Amino acid sequence: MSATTSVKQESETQAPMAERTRNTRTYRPNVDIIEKTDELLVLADVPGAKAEEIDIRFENGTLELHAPIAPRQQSGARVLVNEYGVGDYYRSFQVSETIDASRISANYTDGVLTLHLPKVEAAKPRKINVRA
Amino acid sequence: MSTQLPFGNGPHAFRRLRNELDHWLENVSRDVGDWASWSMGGANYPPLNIAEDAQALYLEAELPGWSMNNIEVVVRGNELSLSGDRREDQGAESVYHRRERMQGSFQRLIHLPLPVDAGKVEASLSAGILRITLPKAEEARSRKIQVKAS
Repeated sequence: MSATTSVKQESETQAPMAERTRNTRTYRPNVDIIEKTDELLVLADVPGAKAEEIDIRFENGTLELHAPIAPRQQSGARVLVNEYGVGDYYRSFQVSETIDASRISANYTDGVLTLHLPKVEAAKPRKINVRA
Repeated sequence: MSTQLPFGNGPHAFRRLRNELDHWLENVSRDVGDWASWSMGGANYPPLNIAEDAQALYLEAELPGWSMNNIEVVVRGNELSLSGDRREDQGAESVYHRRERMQGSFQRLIHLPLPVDAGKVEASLSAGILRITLPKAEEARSRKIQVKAS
């Protein structure tokens, strides 16, 4: 893994679903995408968000997530070191697996958004027994 | 007088040179060890924001998915050490299509610009954001000097 995973990546596109009144940067969250037998698991690093404000959409094989982030400046304090910016998170994915959209679930803990994308029955791997 | 290059003169010389360099660099990393954070995040994980006011230094870092169980904050004199170690295991039936989130161990050693009161340092971790408040030591606080008319 390269050391650049620690640098916060800015997103080229603003999240299409939300019009922000103030001019904040949008960042692309780091994700882990894990395929399991029954589901696709997406873990996204989106610290500083509120669960109820995170917007997740899945349509036509495209998964979009947008997490608005409130600014966190320490008021009245002078900045000495500024290695990262604070802004909204947005990312979209093409999901090739056939997902049962009605059963998608998500939870947000410790700044990580976990998405469970259950596979449609037919997409699950099936062991074929070979008859002699 | 013919000159013999250390890795030979043939077409494989560059490959041999490159292999030697790779091996050498690997050994350097191993010797330096975790101190210089040669692990996944390099020496720059996590990125930090530090601010200051009259009372204290304020340090903030984004550590999503980390908990106070797998990170450690140590203040000694003018030095703050921030380190952590975690291995997430998704189980046997898992295939990673993307793996961008930080795994493994990190350590950052921060030299603070002024002395702090180590006994009064407070740290909290919430929604993946680590906040450390380091109250300035008495001698580091600015004191307004009264100018007496004489």
